[in-house]
Amino acid sequence: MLFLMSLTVLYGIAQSRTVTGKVTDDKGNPVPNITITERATKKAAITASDGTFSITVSKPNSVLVISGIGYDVKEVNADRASELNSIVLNESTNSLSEVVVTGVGAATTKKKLGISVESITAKDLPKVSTASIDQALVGKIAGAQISSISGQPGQQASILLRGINTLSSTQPMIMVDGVQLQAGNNTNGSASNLSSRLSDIDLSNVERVEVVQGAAAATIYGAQGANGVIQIFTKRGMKNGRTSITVNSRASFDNVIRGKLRIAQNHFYPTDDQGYIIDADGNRVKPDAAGVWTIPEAVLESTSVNDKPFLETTYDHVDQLFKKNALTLNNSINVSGGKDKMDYSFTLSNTKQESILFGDYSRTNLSLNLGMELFKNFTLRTTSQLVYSNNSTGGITGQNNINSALGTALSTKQYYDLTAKDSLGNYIVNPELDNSINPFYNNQFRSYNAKNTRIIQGVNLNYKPFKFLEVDYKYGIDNYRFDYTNYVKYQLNTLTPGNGVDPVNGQLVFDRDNQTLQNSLLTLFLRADFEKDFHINVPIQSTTQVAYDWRKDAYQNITATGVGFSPFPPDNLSTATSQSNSENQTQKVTFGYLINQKFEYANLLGVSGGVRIDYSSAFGSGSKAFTFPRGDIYFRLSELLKSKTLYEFKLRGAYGEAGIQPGAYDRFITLSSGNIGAGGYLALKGTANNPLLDVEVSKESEVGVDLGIRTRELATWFSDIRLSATYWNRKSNDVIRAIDLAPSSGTLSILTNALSLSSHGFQASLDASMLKSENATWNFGIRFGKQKSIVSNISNHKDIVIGGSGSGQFVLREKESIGAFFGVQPLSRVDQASSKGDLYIPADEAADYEVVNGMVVNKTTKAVAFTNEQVKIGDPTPKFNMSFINDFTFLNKFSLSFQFDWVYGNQIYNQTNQWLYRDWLHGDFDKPVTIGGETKPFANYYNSLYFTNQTNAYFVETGSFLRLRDLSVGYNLSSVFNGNVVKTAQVTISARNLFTISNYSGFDPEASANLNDPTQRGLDLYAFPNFRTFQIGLNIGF
Amino acid sequence: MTYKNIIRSFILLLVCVTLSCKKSSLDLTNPNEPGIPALQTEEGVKRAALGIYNKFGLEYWWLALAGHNIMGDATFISAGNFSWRWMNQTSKITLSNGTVFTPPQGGSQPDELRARNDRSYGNDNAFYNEWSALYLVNNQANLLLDATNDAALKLSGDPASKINTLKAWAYWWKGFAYSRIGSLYISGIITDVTNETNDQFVLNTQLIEEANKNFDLAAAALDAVTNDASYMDIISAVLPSFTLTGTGGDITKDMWKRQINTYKARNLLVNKKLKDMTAADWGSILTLTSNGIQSGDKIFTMRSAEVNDLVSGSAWSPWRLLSFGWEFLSERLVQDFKPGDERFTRNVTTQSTVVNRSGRGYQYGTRWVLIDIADGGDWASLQYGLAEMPVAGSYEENALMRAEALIKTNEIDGGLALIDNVRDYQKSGLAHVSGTGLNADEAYEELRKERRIGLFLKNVAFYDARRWGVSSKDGGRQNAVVIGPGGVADTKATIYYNYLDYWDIPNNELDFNTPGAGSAPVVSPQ
Repeated sequence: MLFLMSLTVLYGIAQSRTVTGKVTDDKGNPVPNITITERATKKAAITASDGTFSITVSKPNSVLVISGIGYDVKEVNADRASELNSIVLNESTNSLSEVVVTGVGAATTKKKLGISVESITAKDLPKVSTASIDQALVGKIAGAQISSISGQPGQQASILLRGINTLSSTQPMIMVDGVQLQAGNNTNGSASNLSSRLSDIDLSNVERVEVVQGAAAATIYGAQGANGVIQIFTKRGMKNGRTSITVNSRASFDNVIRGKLRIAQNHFYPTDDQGYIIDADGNRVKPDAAGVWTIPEAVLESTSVNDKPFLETTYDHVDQLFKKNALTLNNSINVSGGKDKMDYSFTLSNTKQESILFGDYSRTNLSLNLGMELFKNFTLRTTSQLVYSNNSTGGITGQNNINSALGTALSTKQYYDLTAKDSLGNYIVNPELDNSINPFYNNQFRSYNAKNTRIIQGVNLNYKPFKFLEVDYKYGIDNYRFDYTNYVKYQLNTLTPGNGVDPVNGQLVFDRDNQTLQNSLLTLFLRADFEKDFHINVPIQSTTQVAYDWRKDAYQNITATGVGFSPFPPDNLSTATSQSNSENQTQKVTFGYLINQKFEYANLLGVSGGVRIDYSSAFGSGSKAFTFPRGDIYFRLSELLKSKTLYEFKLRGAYGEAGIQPGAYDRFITLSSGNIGAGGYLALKGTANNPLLDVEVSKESEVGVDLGIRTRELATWFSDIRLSATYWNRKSNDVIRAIDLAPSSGTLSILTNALSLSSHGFQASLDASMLKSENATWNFGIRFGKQKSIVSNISNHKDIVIGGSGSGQFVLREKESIGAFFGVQPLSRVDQASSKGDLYIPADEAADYEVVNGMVVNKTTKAVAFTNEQVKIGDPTPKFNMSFINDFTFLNKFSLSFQFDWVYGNQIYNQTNQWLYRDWLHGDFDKPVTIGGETKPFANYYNSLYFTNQTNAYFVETGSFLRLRDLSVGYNLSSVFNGNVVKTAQVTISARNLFTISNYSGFDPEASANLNDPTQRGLDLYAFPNFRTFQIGLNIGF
Repeated sequence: MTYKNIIRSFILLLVCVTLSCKKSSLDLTNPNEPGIPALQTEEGVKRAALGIYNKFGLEYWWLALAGHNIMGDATFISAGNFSWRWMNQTSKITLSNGTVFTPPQGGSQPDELRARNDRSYGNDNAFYNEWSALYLVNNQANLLLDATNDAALKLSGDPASKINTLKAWAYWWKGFAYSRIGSLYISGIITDVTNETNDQFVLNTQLIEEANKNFDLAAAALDAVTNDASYMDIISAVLPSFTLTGTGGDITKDMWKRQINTYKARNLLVNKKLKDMTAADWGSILTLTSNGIQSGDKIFTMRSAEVNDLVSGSAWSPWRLLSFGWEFLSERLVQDFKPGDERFTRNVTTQSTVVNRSGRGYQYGTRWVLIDIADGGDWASLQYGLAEMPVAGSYEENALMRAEALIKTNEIDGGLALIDNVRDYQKSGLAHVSGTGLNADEAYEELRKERRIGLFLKNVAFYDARRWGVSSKDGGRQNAVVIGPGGVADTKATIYYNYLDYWDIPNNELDFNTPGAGSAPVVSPQ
């Protein structure tokens, strides 16, 4: 041995010679494709499949830099043979391997996690046409309900992670590269038409996404983590990597999903001898020069039968409204690479999406991620994103049936032509001057525009001064300016002055949001290995994390309104005859400490515990701190079993608490202020603030198991199966909601810690390598989630009212599911009595009624009779949701992937249908019913079910659906290009939402009116349906 | 210092800076809204006084007042929004040929309104809107009274006069709120403590007494005002600027006191059935109206505005009667115009006939539509600020109350002369009826018609329908014009309205305020 060593030393004196070595990971497995570079000469070599390499070095004591994707860089002296032969690389935090940081603070391999953290890398995210992360995550995260509830451009998907633990919003906290990001929504036309800040983030710049779903994992984020955390890691370059350029270009075509909604083909209006509809004066209905129609004599009587075909030309209004093949273009270029002390990645991308309704949305992102080692063990990383977007699609969805494009198109009589114009060339405001506005008129005389400019800057300093200590400092600043204008043109020179978009004399609203979020996070990691560092013969490793976290959120809104323009241009705030303005500012400061201690016993067992202490300007009087404890444990049975088949078998459990803060000034008693005419006023608030408000606290426990099964080494079929399952249970206390007060007190409600909510659920994911052969691979995955949340307590035990006035009489009721629908029911028995024992139908009138289709109907009027008590009539919570993911490759050239999403057992309140029943327009009106021995399509039977928009059980439907979310076929063109200049080339054709299997009678069972509102899920009130997309994409790497 | 040391020092500095973050940095105040101490300043109390207007809201200016129009059958609304459909759901219409129409859906107005007396209906619970809006007004007035009693309040000029003006303002609106609640609900709460209520429901008659008591306190406070300049300094700050035109404007102390008398007369007149009025009642009305609103008086008015408005520009009857099929002119109002009334030609024109609108009943039919003030009309406009509505009383109402009392006390010609005055004031062009020898019934019919037309959109239509027994369970209207099937106008139809005389207390109140021992009933006996 000594001889050999001497030889090596002697040999080392020679100028140029070859050295060999071997690279393994921390488990001793050989690592291929690792780059070995001689620092002085930049000569490089690559490790073989067994981890070995050989490289020619030029001088004595030459330094070799060992680097590879997913590993920390290491340096070795080429003359120390023993070190060369046992180079151990540690997985780095930005690894593509199974290392996560979210929820655990310190980078941890998944197998040593005591909590459930989902992670997904960019290659597994679909290249959705909108280039938005939320859309790409649909169906990918086990247990999470991420739903594409709207086709509205610029609005994010609805995100509900584990259960409902607050009533404000289910939106989780969003982080990018370790710092919090603004992920709220700005108004874009109506309460249900929002511009989402999460949608600003460019998918093409995303390397990896991690999701922690509940408080057990989110405790380290303290008073803002209760809804869970989604962390996005942006693309980085590679130290010592060559410069690579990737160009990605995609074009896609969108068409609305029409579902099963049908409009009546017949009518019951009085007609003349030829069968044409007549008005009350006996003349055929017709439009005048202004396009206003005379109105049919609308005599809806008990005998009215909907069986007369329209002789007038009829129009398919849905077809008229939605564009065909709306085009979305998406282009991006990424340049990345690195030198020995630095790496860089630069991305420029642009998306331009034409809405299937009106307007378009374009977004440009410019990102730079730059990392450098300033000196040994000290790295600096800076990440920048510039975002500019322009969205003119606002206002097309809205909850009321006056301005919602979909609502007004649907509630129009069959023979009205939405695209008709009057003699001045204007669209018709409303063909019967009724209380809704033709969407084409609306689009002609009103325009929305939202311009958003945003900069997100992060800085990360990381220093490892000694073996034991790592100091990490992150600072992020995220600022956006959202300029929204809502412009109504002057309409008093139309042929129908006075009927139009309000106000008819014109209005310009300029509404600017400016928000800055700063997040500063200092973390110290103290690591010790008892064996190596203290020479104690037990394989215990200790990690101590101490962190200090500060954040400041500053928001300002300025709204300027000008009303009253002249018939001539220009229209601006200065030319309006009246102006007003308002300002609103919000600031929030929080800071907190985290201490977390973890002990691990070899690879067998780990336990950790910690506490997060938070202070906030929004907390209760005296600003006392809130404390959130946590702890987790895992035990890897597989270490004891030493089975080659069951290579992973881990049991884990965790407990944690996290919070949601009250609104910034909810605890201050102030007077509302504003202007009436030229004067300022002060008034008591209708909803009183409360100085005693506490933080909402969510407490969660979870237990889980992770399994890895390998059938045989190098098996072709079913070679590797991984299963992960988690059961969780959580309880949220002090949930804030305004509860009603007696109006005579002069205050209608007061904000208070009103509710306790409890939830539990189960989530599981399965990933299997179904086939792995030289020419083909098939990977299969299942994501499963099941959850239920109920209101366990309301402080005054009274229902909390949610809706009312056109959006459902929904309430929150103790012991019932959150968001359950409440309403009245059609009577099912003629002798049905109320809960007080009163007969709904007096006994002496019982003979006038009979049961039709399960509902009690008056034989004379044909009207359905209803109860008058508010009871639970439906629940939007699915029994489960799951996804099936398949990826195939053939001959290393073809790829095929598809994903099915299945939501089962949820219910939808179809208020769109209810409105169509009001206007005698729904296709059901054509269906005959048998009443009093007569079988005819009785109009009053259907119309009576509308029940003046009162929420009733008839419109509750099953919303289950199975959707082919994504289908993608790719062909690798690399071989065409010989690989000299063009390294990779891939063409992809894909389809999204290609088909949906559902019994739902509306447009789209996935569409819902309210984003992230836990109390009004599953409400289809002119919900903007999703669209079916075909996409062709080209990806070229240089 | 070496490069490394710079970096090390920087880290050390960061550690120090961040760890020294003080809790005091959390002491943020709300930059948007002033706190209660603002009420100790002159500008603060002026703004709190103007703030009373803020409390009425959509619930009052549009939802409640339109409800009064339709229940008075001056207008109709077939839309189900805010339960309007049910508010003017007549129980039976009988055409002259004997054809009977009952509601195509639902039952009587009391049944339908009561079925929706639940918090979950929000503004669709008819009982809720006027109740809640006026108790918010009452509470804001209580807040203002607290502020005037605060020793820390600093006022310029003659502080005593200003305080008395502000007190008069608060008592006036408390009187107004109790008057409206007592004139619509079976019972109510009297509360003078800011942000507090109690469980003692008192009968509506006691609410009216309390209203009059507050009106008297207002008058007494006005009497205590000695400095007119200080008075006017407050008044010019508390009236919405867009109402200071037409009959609106800077109200003098005396004008204000006359409004109080007019309202007290209304409180007497509209809360008794006509048949139950006594000679003493008519005597009181004569006394009150003798010093009531005069034709040149400035009164409390409401108008729309383009910005900083109170009725969202368009959310009130004077707009909605012209736009988008919300509120329609009733045939029963139009039939009350006397032939030759220039108010008819100025204001009413035909449109394509509306019959049984939306299939919801034949009471929802009309041939008529209003003409915009911009085109020569008097009542309604699509242009901001043109239409005016009195908030409390008006010259016409005072004159017609006095006329009614005179007719009922056998001074027929004196009463008819006042009717003529009102008709002239409103430029009706009608021939005078005084001195034409009308008997008491004929004279009263002139009065009835003039109240219908002259007080249209002056918020008394339902009160009149109730006291005349038209809307009530035991009432109805004969010889009513109804647009029947085929758009045919039947002038001899009978309408049985069967509306509640007085409303139940909304469950929004009762859910949180269980009536205490000895409370008055909270459900109307009807």
